[in-house]
Amino acid sequence: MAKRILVTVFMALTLVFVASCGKNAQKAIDAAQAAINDAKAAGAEQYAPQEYKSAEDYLGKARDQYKAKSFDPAKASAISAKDQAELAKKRALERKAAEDASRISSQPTGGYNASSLEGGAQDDSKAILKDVRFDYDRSDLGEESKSTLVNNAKWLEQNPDAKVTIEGHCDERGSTEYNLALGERRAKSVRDYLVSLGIDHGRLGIISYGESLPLDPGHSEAAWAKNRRAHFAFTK
Amino acid sequence: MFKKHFVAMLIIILAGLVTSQVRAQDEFVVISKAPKKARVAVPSFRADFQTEEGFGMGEELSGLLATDLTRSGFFELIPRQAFLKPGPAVEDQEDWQAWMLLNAQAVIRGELTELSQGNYQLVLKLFDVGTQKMALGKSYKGSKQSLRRMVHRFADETVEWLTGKRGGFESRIAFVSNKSGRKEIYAMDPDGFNLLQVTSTGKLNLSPVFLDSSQVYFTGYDRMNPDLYLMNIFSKEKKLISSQPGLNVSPAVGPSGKKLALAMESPGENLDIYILNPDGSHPLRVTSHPAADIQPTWSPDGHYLAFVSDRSGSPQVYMIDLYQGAESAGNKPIRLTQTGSYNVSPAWSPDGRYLSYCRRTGGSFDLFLIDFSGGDQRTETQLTTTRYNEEDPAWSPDGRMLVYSANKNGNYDIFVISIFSKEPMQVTNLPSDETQPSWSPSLYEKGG
Repeated sequence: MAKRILVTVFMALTLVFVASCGKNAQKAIDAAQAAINDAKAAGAEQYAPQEYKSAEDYLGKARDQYKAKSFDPAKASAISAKDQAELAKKRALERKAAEDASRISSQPTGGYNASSLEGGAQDDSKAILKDVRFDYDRSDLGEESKSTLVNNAKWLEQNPDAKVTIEGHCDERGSTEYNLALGERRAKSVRDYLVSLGIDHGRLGIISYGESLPLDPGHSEAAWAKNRRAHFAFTK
Repeated sequence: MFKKHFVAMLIIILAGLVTSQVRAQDEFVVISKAPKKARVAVPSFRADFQTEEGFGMGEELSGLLATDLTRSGFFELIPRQAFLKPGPAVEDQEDWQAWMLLNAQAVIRGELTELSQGNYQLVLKLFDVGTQKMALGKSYKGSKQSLRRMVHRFADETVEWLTGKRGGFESRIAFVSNKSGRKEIYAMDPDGFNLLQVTSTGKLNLSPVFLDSSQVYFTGYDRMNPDLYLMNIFSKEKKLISSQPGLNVSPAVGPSGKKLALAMESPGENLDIYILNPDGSHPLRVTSHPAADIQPTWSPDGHYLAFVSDRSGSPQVYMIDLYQGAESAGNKPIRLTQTGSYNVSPAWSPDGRYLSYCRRTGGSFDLFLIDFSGGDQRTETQLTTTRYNEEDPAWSPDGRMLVYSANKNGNYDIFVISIFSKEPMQVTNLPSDETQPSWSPSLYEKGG
């Protein structure tokens, strides 16, 4: 009788043990699947394809082993799958961030293509989109201005998400109001030329600041020449 | 043959003489038009409180009256060093002979009394040296802060005594200054005192124009677009009046403040002149031309709008007949400026006789006046002839002075000039640029 009870207890314990082995393996497989889902959401398929594929392979192996009731090896494979998935996710995020950073660095940094009103008028030597210059009381584009705009248009084509505001500026001579009209016309003249080069009208806002935000506060011919400009500011 | 030549030459010589005679006569007429200034003495006002403070206040207020009268262009102030009896008159017993020796036409005496703590009385009397009688006497009461305004009011009365028409010193001037680093709107008394910062957005604020003595229209970039606002300069309450995408600029208040003219852009259109209600509602288009039309100014009867347009290829001043409706084939604007390649900032005088504007002459800008008193025979006078810039003219409420900005000192300051004496007087003296002045209506009529 005692022996029978002992055998029964042993069998029950064995069942519990085997069942718990199966349960642990299943848990590990579920965790690996979740990690793979995370990695996928982080763009691992694209940014860390080798690691991601390795994680999927391990998971497939774990499922096969589980079906064959080889619970321990199944659990080990699932843990490897999870490790690989986590690695894939980590690498994907790193690579994506690096790529974003490189994309942002091709966008203007600092104030060089900032609004003259909010960022202050600044020299455009480091700007992505270069200023365009005008003659006194004129809003038409010379050859140099056109070639600047062709380059600006190329960049705008390559960066289709970028939206800009074209600011029209004047030198200090003449009335504040008439210079507002002149600045508006300069901005429109630049916009019209960019549209003629194939840039979508909707990406190009305009604003006139007239003579009120000079690049160079001086009163010389050289200062005036700098101040008669159309400036590009990225629209937030 | 020889005889024929001789006759022809004689005719040419005679013609030349006649022409030069006519020209000389013209010049004579112009000179005789300038009124002779009245010589006036303004001794230091007496304060009944014999303290240093009382003496200082008497000096300040009599100096202010002298400044106003000088700026009016109608008075020549007799220097105090020339006074034969510098002390105050006793019991209004003037030494008439002493004033006659100085060729004085009038003597103005003032007496300041502190009625109670912080409450003053200022009695001002103008004595006519010719009749040896008081010709004008006023008694004002109020706080210390209102003393300067009392003096402005008496200056306006004194101008009226001499000319028959009240002066415009009891008023305010609004202008743009970049003293904070950004262009903001400020207001001050016409003598530069009581400076008040009106806007402080840290963005751009331009072209202030008074609707009444306490509210100004101006263009502000708060919303990253040049929109038109109306703001109470004391409460700072601000209303958005016009916010078309693009320019909403150069407001001009029409007769009695019932209409507003503004340069703005309708969607898909370029800059044209519109007439709106004072709150910005019901815009009606007045000009329609692919060139820019800007800077409107009303004739005081509301019959005409003058404005700047570059429809000829350069900015020039035009005039449109509003009784004929908007611009059309049958109602074309008339070009008023024929000389110069840059004529801007027209401002119609409150009596309708003059249109002041700014012209580029050589490398600098000067102020000019068109005189409409001859009907279609318009005549022009040049008000300033300096090598620096005089710009942005705006009329005083009495229509005999202009306030403007000039860069005489390198930076721009606010100046006033009498159109009769044509003597510029500097009002502000800051290292920054003060531009685009606008003169309020008289505070006297308004009572506020």
